[in-house]
Amino acid sequence: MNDKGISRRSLLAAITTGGALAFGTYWVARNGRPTLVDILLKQGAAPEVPDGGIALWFDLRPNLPIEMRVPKIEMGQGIHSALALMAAEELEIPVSQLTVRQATSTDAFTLGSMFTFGSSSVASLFEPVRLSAAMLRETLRFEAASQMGRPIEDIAMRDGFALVEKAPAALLSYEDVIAAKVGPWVPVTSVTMKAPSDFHTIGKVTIRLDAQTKATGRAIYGYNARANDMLYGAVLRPPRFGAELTAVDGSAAITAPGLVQVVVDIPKNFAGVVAATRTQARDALAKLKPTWSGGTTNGDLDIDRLTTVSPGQGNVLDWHGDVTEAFASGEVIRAEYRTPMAAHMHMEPVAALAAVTTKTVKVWVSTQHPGSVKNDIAPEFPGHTIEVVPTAVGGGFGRKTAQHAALEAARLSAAVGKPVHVGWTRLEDFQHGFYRPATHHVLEARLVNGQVIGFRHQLASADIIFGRDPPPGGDTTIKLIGFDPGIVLGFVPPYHFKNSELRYQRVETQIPTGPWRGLGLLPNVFALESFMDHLARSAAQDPLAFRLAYLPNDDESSRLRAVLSRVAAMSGWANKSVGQGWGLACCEDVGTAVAMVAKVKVESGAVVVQKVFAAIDCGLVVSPGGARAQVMGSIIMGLSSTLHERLIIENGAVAQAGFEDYPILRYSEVPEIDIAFIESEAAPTGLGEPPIGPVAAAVANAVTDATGKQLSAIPLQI
Amino acid sequence: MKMKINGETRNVSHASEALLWILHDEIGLTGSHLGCGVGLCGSCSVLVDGVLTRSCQTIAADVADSAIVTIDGLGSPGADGTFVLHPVQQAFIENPLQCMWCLPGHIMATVELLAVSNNPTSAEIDESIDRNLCRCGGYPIIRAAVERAVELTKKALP
Repeated sequence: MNDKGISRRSLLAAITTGGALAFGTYWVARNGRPTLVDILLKQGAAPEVPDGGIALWFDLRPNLPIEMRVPKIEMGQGIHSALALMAAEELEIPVSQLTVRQATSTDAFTLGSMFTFGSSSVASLFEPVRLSAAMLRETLRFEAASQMGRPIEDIAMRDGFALVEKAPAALLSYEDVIAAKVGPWVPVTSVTMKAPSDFHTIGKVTIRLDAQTKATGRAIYGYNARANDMLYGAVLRPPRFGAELTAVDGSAAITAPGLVQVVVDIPKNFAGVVAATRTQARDALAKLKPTWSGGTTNGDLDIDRLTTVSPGQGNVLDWHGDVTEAFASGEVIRAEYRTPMAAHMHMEPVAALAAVTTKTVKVWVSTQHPGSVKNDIAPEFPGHTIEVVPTAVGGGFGRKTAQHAALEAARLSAAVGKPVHVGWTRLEDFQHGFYRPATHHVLEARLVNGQVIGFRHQLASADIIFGRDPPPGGDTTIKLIGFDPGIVLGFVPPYHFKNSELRYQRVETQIPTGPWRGLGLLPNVFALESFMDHLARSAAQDPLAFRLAYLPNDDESSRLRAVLSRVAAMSGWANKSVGQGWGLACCEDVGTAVAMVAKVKVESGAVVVQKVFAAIDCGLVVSPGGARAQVMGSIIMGLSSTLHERLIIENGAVAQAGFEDYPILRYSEVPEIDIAFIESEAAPTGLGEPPIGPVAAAVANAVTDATGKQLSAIPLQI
Repeated sequence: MKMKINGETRNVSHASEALLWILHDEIGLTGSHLGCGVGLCGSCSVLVDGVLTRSCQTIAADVADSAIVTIDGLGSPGADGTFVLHPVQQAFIENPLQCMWCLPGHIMATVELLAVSNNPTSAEIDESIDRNLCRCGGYPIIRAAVERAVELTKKALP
């Protein structure tokens, strides 16, 4: 409290009690993945529109920078900085004057709104954040006018000051206005947002607000979370996926140095230890003698056998015309593609700190999905107040949408009555996570006079979304929907074929599968775009011209046409000669269009990617540096999958250990990368995942161009 | 046991444990990160008597007589008492990576590189960067940051 009796929360309180939700506006999930909704509607099922209401709060305190609390998790995509740019634009303050704080589960945001996934954060918050900031600016302006004794029309807001153009001496900083406020605030909710042509911050300023904290080693990630008097936990992992714990002999661990407690809960399939140090916890854990039963013995051969298209089986997801009739007479061109299981390999293994009392559970956790953490914990701690504090995240890529370190830490903390940190080892994280499912694709087409008159794509895959997060109603609902919403990303071709059919077979492999950057995008686009080149060669047409023939010159295809012609111009596509190792691919996802050209050479049986050109239309680019980093990162992660990554399952378990035998792309393998964004004032669409879509196909097509060899699987083998 | 960490003498109880956990858990210097635990990714890198060292693979007692420098210890107080960033930190702030969990490795590797020579060749820069992994695909940014660090280091020379 200061001497004018303004509590630090006064503005916040004034607004909520005033009945007008001034600086929190409703979140509309206006940029989902349209193809999914289309398909759902076509099948007669109502699309589920995510529940909207969230509040974005600015906290104003006298003589301090305005604090913005953001619901989205910072995991390297630069979202805190992007959201700050949006707010600073409308607040009319330099972005460096805005303090951004990660919201926790106690900050009045719905936990669902904190879920950070699907390249959706910038797109879904572009309006709400700017609108909220504009309301705050106008509320401050109204108050400034009153304090300065001027009509509001006289007051301009610029660089963190309320000023009067015709009287330069009349000047109040926002802090001055806030400090001098007496009585309740009058929220101004009728505001107009700025036109993109007036932007001076959005799309113009490159900043990472968290860079200094991270470059000085002071950032708190899940693995770094600390509390006084904390202890360290370690938890047993099953030898096979699905195995159940039937007994644990802990007698040998009792005398382990530093041991605090052995915690066993057979019904929960859980056994762990708490010790004074992390190393002691690991040593004590190794002394537990568990008995496991059941689980799967499936290996790669089983997974491939199960993940195999059976002609005519599965559900038809989308169709146009009559493909059976189109295929009835004449030659049908057919190709098969496979993609393997893949791991996320985020650099920070999953980790959480939990402090449990008789009434409260507080967890600090490296998560993309605070709601899932709360849902994990709540059933086991009835009557407790549960607070989830999301930390900085050292890479997510989907893996941290569902991680159970927080629940494990909470169980152990409850047992010992002290805060307990559980940080998984790389081995645990790698072998006991969930994975991008293996996929099998059968593509068929019939060409008449070089034109596609029929097209069919049959896909077999284990679940992505439902593998981690079954819908209400479970299997019945899944059967009604008929497909996993994740695996079909990139499945619907952007091309207009006269007769087409998309068929999907949902398979169960007993191995945990889930979201991996882009979900089905990279596998589906690899298959589709490899096949498009195959067809272009069969028709003796240029791959670019062949694609453009099926993208009508209309609004729906305009973005993809634009990025294709842009990437062609960047790469000098028109002047290239066949056989020199050039490949093209493109895709659309979350409304963003991406086209890529790869240049490769093949040296003693190895593919060397020399250059990648990428053109992207994601609408208006909010944070230029962050946007480039997202595209670059997608390309490099995509190349890693294209050239190296294949998870091996033997006898129901992951057969590799980590980076040593599951290599990821190194610096020395990175090609020159040339990225261009289409200039746009359209509302931003997503960017974190779409650019990973075309990578594998562009490289595969380039290798085929160089070698004449058809490639049917990643990682590419020649 | 006593250890010299970031210019200070610290008492350490669990001398037989990995240096990473002594720094991270016992002393509370959490700037060095666990990435792989087998010395491959480099996220845990520190300088031991000036030499880039994987702290996850180093037993604390084995380096008891050495001077340890971690990312937490870079930078220095300026003339007016404010914190002055190390030029390598400054370079990586100007060229921010994505999640930055691997950043301690890249920063410490660059500090070592520039301590050996303030004018490294392009090949030496490439070799230095290739010691560490980055899953977010920030490699081209790392190259830009190291080049900027070279520039800032030269500028700081008397």
